[in-house]
Amino acid sequence: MLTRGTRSAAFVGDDFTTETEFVQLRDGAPGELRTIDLASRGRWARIGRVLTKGTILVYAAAILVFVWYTKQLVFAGFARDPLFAGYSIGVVIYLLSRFGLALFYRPVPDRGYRPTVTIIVPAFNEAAGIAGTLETCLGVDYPEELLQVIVVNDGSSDETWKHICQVWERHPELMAVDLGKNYGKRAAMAEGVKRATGEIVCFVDSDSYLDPAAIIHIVQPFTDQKVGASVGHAEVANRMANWLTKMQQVRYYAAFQVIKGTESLLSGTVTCASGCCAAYRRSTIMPELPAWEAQTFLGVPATFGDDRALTNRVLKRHRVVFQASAKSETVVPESMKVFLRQQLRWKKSWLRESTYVARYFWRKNPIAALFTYASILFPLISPIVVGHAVYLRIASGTSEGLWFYLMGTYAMALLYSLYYAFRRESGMWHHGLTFVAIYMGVLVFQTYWGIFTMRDNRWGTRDSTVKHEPLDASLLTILLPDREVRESADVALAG
Amino acid sequence: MNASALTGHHPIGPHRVRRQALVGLLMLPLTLLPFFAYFNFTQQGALVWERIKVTISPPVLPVLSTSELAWIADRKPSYSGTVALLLYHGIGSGADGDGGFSISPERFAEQLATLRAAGMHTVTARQVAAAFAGDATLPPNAVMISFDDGRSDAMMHADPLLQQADMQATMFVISDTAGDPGIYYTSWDRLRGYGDSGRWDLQSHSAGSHFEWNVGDRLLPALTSIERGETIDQYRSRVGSDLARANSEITSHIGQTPVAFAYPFGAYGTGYDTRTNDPRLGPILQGFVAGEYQIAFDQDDQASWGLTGCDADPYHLHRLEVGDWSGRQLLSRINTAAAAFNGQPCTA
Repeated sequence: MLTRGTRSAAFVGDDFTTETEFVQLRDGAPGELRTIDLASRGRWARIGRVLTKGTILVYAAAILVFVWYTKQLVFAGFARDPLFAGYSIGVVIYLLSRFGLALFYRPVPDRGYRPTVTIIVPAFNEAAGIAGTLETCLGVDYPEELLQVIVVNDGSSDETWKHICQVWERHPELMAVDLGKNYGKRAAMAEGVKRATGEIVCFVDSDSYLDPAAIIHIVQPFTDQKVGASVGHAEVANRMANWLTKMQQVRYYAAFQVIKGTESLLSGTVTCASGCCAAYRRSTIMPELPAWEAQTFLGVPATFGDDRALTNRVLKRHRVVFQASAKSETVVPESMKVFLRQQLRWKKSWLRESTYVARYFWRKNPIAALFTYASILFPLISPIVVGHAVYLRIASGTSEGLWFYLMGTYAMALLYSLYYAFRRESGMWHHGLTFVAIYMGVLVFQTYWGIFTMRDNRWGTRDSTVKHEPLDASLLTILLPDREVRESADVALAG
Repeated sequence: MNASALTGHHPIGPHRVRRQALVGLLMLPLTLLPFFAYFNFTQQGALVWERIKVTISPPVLPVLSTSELAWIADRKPSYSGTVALLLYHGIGSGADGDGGFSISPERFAEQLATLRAAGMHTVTARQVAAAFAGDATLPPNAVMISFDDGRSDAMMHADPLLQQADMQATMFVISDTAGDPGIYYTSWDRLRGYGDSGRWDLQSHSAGSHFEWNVGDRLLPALTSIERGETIDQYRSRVGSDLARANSEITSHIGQTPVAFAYPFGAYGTGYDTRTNDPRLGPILQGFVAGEYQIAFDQDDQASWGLTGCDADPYHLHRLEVGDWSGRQLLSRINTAAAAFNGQPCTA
């Protein structure tokens, strides 16, 4: 059953029975993205698909009717608990308008623009995935003479460098840099930018896989001189692993298509160009790099949230857009413990960067500004508002408002999940409900934990504790692209 | 070595995609369960459901069968100068939190259709007050349809039916709850809309005294009982300010000063009504009611309920608590009362 998919195959499945995955058939062979297409052709499959999508639309419409009728309840509750009522209305308007706006998002089409591009892959202790990542980067559909791929090993303590060397032997067009010591992701990224020659630099995390057409698509927005950065869509590579990864897949989809989609639509105001696949104009980030690399917060070096931090520095004077047609897959945590640590790290960088973004965002697109300030405010106040409302109702001995709150949350969670079912056409849509439950039950409270432990800047998912310091040139190892090595490798293979 | 080991993630085989698609389809109906539970097992959810139902398909006045019409034609009442006073609380299916105070929308519709077929004319409390004052005459076969409490379930079901039957009703509003309605009570905004339709006469059911409390060893209505440590003067000012507040609130929100009062729980604290802990309270309450209103309603002794004529005590007008009855049952009850009437009809 393991057959290679063609490069032109649709990366994101377009019906309930299509999925893609990155596979390597044998050790050392180049990887491929494989599309599993069970029944997208044939009349019955089409009828089933139309029926399913129709059902989802009717279901979503019914939920909207329900929300519309409960609005009276919220308005009626204004006199008793104006804080909670105002908050509920605010959140519902925020969510519905975001999802509504996202329907109008369209990626920039391929206009044939082909600038020089450098893909930079910073790697730290990624022995399992690095070869696959580099294979997809090296295998993208892009004119060979315009593409440069640089991998920077940030002093990994595992076999990452060995895997990089193996890939380099197969693909001598690769430039591989070993920092020789662990300096942190920012140093690795900056080192890559310094060695880059491309007009556009594209960061790809060491656990992400690029779609063959990703680079062609991600550079298209740069024909607009105002655009400083462009971020691609990411899906979860290990989404079939367990419920936690399925949940994250639904969350990623909404976070990219809805959050980044609307931000992009509103004058290019994406606040986080995620590391899975994010392209920057090199001339735009060069002057930002020193300050970004040396960023400190509350007196301690900022060692994570590098993608968000860089984006926000670019966003200050440029546009940052989302390019949905540039697709990638990334590996997400498979255990709750690691997932929670990752979320805490994201929360902290979000908190840190919010203090930066809030200072200039009011000058941006007013609707985008409204969304951004709301998205900063709501998570901060929601535990207080909800806690207060629960306390009031328990004190007055009625469960009325609580049922309503639970159902309202459930209705919004369903809409969130059905959006995924409708657009992504995948059977794991209901895991969106799990995500909202975990978000409401755990992640919102994590915000406060993040505030209290703000100065603790450990990664949590990997054991790197780094300080900002200049690179020690004597520790550097650089494998330059070398055509001759490639020829000798060919000879070896032929032999 | 297989693919997943190399790339560090789990394979997506065709069988897994197929299984996932099936689970996804099954989850569509399953995710409806919380809604089902909310609508069926919580009072609030039931009300939301009723509101959705009423808006999508409003209740319809039934078309009575020929045999039904013939039965009614034989029993058309023919009284004049008197009025049958009816009392309802809520209308809905199982939406009732306080047990037994609701009738189904179907029953209510059937009752209205029957009253109409029997040639009865609805009057409002304001019209009854005018008749008592000698300013107006009651139409023949007059019936006053009244509701206590200002419940939203009653108004949303009754209003379209009243419109279809071309009838009017009286709502006795608790003014404090109209200001803080939740889902159970009707808000001032909606009340004003109902009032403007001409189908609803909005009158007073106190401001914030529609509750019972524990005084001594008894649970008594607030308006007819005195709290431990409360003096008569304090009682006087509590009751006086409550009724004054109710009137000023209704006047300012609805634009018409109420002329009628319905005692909360039908309690007035004198004579037949023993729900009081001090015999001095009843007369004080009645004094205030007489000061603020022209007429007042209770729901005393249901067995002896009869038609009301102008010889009745205007501050103790008795209403019939209509249950989940058929239209025939209601009409029979009115006919029995009409036959037994031996009082003084109103004359202009």
